[in-house]
Amino acid sequence: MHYKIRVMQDKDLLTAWKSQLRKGAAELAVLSLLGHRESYGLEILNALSRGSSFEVSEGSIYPLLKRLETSGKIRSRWVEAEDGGARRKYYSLSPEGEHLLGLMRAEWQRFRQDLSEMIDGVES
Amino acid sequence: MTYSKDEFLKRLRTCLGALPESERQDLLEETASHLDDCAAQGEARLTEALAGFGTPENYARAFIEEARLRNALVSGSPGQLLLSVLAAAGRSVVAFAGFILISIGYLFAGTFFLLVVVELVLPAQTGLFTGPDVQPFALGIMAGDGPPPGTTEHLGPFMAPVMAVAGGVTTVLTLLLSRLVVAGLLKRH
Repeated sequence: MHYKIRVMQDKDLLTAWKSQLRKGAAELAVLSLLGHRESYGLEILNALSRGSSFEVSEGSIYPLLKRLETSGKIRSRWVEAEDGGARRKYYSLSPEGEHLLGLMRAEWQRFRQDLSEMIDGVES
Repeated sequence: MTYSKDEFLKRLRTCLGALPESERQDLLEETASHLDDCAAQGEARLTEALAGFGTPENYARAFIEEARLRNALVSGSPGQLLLSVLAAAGRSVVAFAGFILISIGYLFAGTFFLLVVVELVLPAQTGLFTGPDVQPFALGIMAGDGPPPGTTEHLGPFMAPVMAVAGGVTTVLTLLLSRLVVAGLLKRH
């Protein structure tokens, strides 16, 4: 009984922790993807879904893109499909977004290194 | 309830009613383009995409709430700031607490301004009173026969200007608080 409760709590804690961890990660992932090349919503979503730890969906990716666009980090343009299909809205980094991506990337690398060193140091 | 592609878009158009027409059109076209692309990959992918968007109501809310907060912050209008916080209050404890605090702030400011007017009409019954019957003090209107015997009024002719300044300061502080709350809510989005 006690064990069962413990397992439940661990599961809840892990879920909460993972959601904290993911919060800022999707933003960096989108910026980094757009830093690589211009892309549209579905393409960004597919790329992010490949790394399953992001857990993004249609319902979260478009509000995120909107937020980044409103704050001037990315910009968009409509592109006619070459195969005569529907138009797609392509996003790309603005100079401001490129600057932010640089800062976030450096911060992330520092963070990853510090945390790895810490965990390895403790566990060895 | 599950929507078909057309039902979803139709419902979304209604739910996005609060957005400016160009922004709404843009969002609808982008959503339609996404769903068309998925539909081209088969029924299963389309169903997955529709599930991914969630209900049109929730999906629309993500844009409307943010647009409302943003517009309120840009316009700086006290009413819009208050309403945008109220709109978010149902789903955020911070917004709820903020709404209560801002409301109390304006209530106080309104009372101070009201006292300016009342002081001009009923100068003898309005003021800052202390005395055996009013502990520790009373600010406002002593209705009926006026203040009870033994009560002293402290502000005298300064009552109206002091209340006007208090009202002004409270208004400015409350406006500042509402801007802080809206900016904070935007950051958490």
